[in-house]
This record gives sequence, structure tokens and C-alpha cells, in this order.
Amino acid sequence: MANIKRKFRNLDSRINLRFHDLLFPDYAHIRHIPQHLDIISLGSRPAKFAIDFNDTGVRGFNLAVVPQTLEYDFRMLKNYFSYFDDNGPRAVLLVLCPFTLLKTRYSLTEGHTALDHRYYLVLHPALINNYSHSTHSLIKYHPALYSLSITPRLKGLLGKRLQRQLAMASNPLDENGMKESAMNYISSWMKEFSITSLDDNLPGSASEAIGSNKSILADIVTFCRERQLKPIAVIPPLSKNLLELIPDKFMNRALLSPLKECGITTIDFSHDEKLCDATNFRDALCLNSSGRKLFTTGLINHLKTKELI
Amino acid sequence: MIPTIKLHNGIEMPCVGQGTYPMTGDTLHDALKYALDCGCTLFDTAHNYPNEASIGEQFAKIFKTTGYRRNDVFITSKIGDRLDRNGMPTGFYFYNSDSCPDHNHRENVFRQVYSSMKKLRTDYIDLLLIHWPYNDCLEEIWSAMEELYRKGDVRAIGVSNHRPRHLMRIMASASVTPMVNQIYVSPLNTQCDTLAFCRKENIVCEAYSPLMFLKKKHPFTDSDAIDAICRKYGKTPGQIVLRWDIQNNVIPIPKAASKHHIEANYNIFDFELTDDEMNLISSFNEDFQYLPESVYCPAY
Repeated sequence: MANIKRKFRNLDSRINLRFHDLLFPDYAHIRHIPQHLDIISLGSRPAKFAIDFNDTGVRGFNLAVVPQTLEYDFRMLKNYFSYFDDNGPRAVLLVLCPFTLLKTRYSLTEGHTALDHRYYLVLHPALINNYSHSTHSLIKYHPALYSLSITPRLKGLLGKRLQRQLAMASNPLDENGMKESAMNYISSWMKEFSITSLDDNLPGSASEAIGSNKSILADIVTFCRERQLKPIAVIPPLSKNLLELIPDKFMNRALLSPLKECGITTIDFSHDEKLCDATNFRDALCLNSSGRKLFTTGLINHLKTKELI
Repeated sequence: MIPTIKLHNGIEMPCVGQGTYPMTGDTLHDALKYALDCGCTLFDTAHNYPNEASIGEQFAKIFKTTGYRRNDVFITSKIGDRLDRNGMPTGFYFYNSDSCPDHNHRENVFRQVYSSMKKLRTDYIDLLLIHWPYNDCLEEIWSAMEELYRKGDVRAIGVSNHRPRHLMRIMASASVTPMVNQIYVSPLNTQCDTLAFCRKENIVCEAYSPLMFLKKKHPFTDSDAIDAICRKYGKTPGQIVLRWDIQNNVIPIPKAASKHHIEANYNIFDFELTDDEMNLISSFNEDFQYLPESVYCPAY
């Protein structure tokens, strides 16, 4: 009888694991995190598409989650920094984009993302906003039941949309497609952050968000110092189509100046001539797999040259 | 008779002990009895172990049916977070977060200790530890533990899974320095810095799961040199590791259920490893994290 129970439990665990991997692609990746890391990278969707440590000769792991705010970048760091090698360079790469610091949290009007369910299998419960023990039990022990509550998203998840997008090695868009992609990104960000013109001063809400994120950055710096970690802000390459639409003044106000004020070492690849070529991208913002390899290699070489790793 | 180590408050603590997680029922009863018969009197448990009540029940049976009594045994318990069915933390205790419904951490220390005493059917605990360095309320927890110590509900207080920076944080506000630090120590993680710090501060170190790494294939288990040491003394790799712990002044608390393994675990006082042999065993260090600390205790 005990044997049957054990076999059933094992089968149940294996089925649940399969569901977890399908429903939470970030979990499917993160659960394989190895020990003795030299570098951890953090960030949201662009970071997910920007970094690939495979075959680079460094022990790195990409902890970007789609999507992720800076608040949760910090929480991921708090949860996983023990995976660093005690005697290694212990570099923490915060991969940030021009609009990153304008975002603090997702609201319920933005849908399922705000519930933070994507973190229930990858973060300690104390690190999850509005944590619910019953939701955790549902996700962890009854993922099949849980999947019924997210049926609109199931098609994309079960079809492994994110994995297919990550695997794309070339740019599927032509010049007009890239222009349209860039316009779409800019107009959706401007709408999201109530910005009427990128040339103007930022609206109050955006400035407040930057202030709040600067506070988080300061906490990250302190946290890293206490644990002998090295925080480095990295701005990945942006496509020329996107760069044309983002004034330097905006970039300074929204990203570069706040980073400077926080005293974080910053490496800016956003205008790198070679990396910004359209062939490296899958859309105006995110790199394709070849661009990712090229960028990661260039980034690691730069970090080594500057003796940051 | 197993030798003892004196804690800085004068309490004598056995130099090797028995882990109990997650044994229950007759298996637990027999394991406790075999250990006692081998001279082992140190037993380790925690408030969040599902078998703490079973330990109390089995000890009650043993004290009733044999010559062993409560004051013959040294019981360690720990206060800490609630665990889920897979042994993972739930954030239910000792956090200032949404996962923790009650932020009165001091009261929760008292509740857990008195609950443990009730389950263990005892009116005192020999050694009380904090399971992890809970970042949100470490000083508050320690202050409550000092109060329990002063009241005599516990004979000694200490910590578990603490590195030097956590110990320094406690010591900055403590009136009682921790007496014990229970950590993962093995040839795969020799914890040099933490052991050195504890030695300097007169804090005794214990090693949990000291033999767990032997269950998997590893250069240590495949090593001809280790095999030679085993053959030289007529001991198993497990006994060699436990002896290595003791000679490093670390108290190992291996868990074993079978009579054969229990007897072997305490048959380690008839030989002594040379300095070269000690260094060889330590050379397998790879800073392996048995329980990745930040996963179990975020912002560790």
C-alpha cells in the first residue's frame, strides 16, 4: 500500500512538473540554475532576449522574467544570490531599457500579470506582493486546475510561444516592419506612462516612478556592498528604428541620469553601431538569438577589459 | 560514554548527536533507543518538523519502559518558519511581508517554544536555535530567546545557518552571545570562514546532514586515497567524515534509522586521523551549498 502511495505521489509530481514547465516558462528555465556562478543578469523582456551565457566561458545565468519590474529584479537577487561562487567576481547585471525606471508595479487593469503568479514557483513567498497561500497551493499542487483560470493565455503558453521567439535566429521584419514595430513600442509606452511628448519634461507620475526606482537602486547598491556583490547597469543595444524615436534628452532624464545619481557602474550599448543593426533583432526592441550571442560575447569582453569580472 | 564539549555558559553538550527529521512511530522509537544504547544523548528537532510530537511520544515511552530519564538526554529544538509538505519555507513566520499574517515576532517565538515543549512533553529545552537569520526581525527574535534563557525555559541558546555577518549583527545588540551555530559542514563545504569566526567568539559549531553527500557519486566517494584511509582504520567513509568533524571541533548530528548505521555513527572514538589525513579530506571542498541559503532565507 505504501509502495502504491509512493508511486502515485511520484507520478503526480512528474505530471505537475510538466504542467509547471508549460505554464511558467521562466520557472522551466530558472529551476536549472547551477551553483558557483560568476554573473547573474536581471531584467524584463528585453533582458530575456538580450543575454545568453551559453558557450561564453563564464558561469552566468539569466534571471530575467517576462515581464519584470525593478522591484522584482531586486527580489530575484535576494532569492538567488547564494548561487554565486564565494570567490568569483559576483557580478550582478541589471539590464535596463529607456522606459524601465518609469515602471513600478503592474496594476490589475493590466491583467493577469499584476497577480505575480509567475513568481510563485521561483521566489520565496515572503518576496511576493499580495501573496496568497491558497493560490500557491493551487499552482504548486494542482496546476491542471490552475490552468483553467488562465485559459485565454493557455494557447500561447502551451504552444511555447516565448521559447519559439527566443529561438528565432533572424529578423522576420523588413524595414517597414521594423519602423512599425518601433512606432508601436513608443506609442504604447507613451500611453502607459501618460507622456505626450518625449521632448518635454516627464509627467509627475513618471518622475515619481523614477524616484521610487532610484530608491530601489540605492537599496540594491547597499545590499550588494554588504554581500560583496558587484552591481552593474547594462543598457542593451536598441535598433536604429527605435533610437530614431527616442531623443537623447529623454534617455538622459529617464535612465542615464538616475543611474549616475545612484552611483552604479553603467555600460551603455544602446548606440553600438555594429550591434544596433536590424539583422540582430527580432523586432525593434528585442534581440534575436544571433544578436543575443553577439551582444553577450561583446558584453563579457567589455567586462573583462574593464576588470569587472 | 560520548565525550562532551563545554559551551561558553558552562553547559556540557555531547560531541556527536542524532538527527530525527522526519522519522515517526516505531522507526523513530527504535532509532532513539538504539542511539541511547550507543551512548548518544543529543537529539535534534525543530518546531516546524512534522514529527516533533512523535519525538515527545516516543521519548515518553522510552522513559517509562527503560532506565533512561529526561535529564539523560540533550534536546535541541529550533524556532522558525512554517514548512510546506516538500520541506520548503512558506514565509508564514518571521517576515514583515504579505505571506506572514502575524508580525508580532516576539510573541511567535514564545508560542513556538512553548508549543515545542508541550509536544516534546518536557518543561525545558536544552538548546534552542533560530533556524535561519530572518532578516526582518533577527534582533527581535534573539531578544525573545534571551528572555527564555534568563527564565530557565531553555538551558542554552544559539543559531543555525548563520554566517559571520549574521552573528555580528546579533552580537551588536545581544546581551548573551550565541552558544552554538548549527550549519552544513562536510568535506564538500568546509565552512572555513564561519568555523574560524565561531572559534574566535567561543561559539560551538554543529554540522547537520554531515553524511548526506555520500548518497551521491562524487570524487570523494570514488577516491582511492579516502578508500585507503577507510581500510587503514577499518572504518566506513561515513565514520571517517564524522571523525573529521569531531577533530575539527564540530558536533555532527547524522540521522540514521537502522541499528547498524546508528552503531557505526557512534563507533568513532577508537581512532584518530593524522593531520595529513584531515587535510586530504578537507581538500574536497567546493563550497557546495546543500540548502542554497538565499532560497531558504531571502536577503540572507
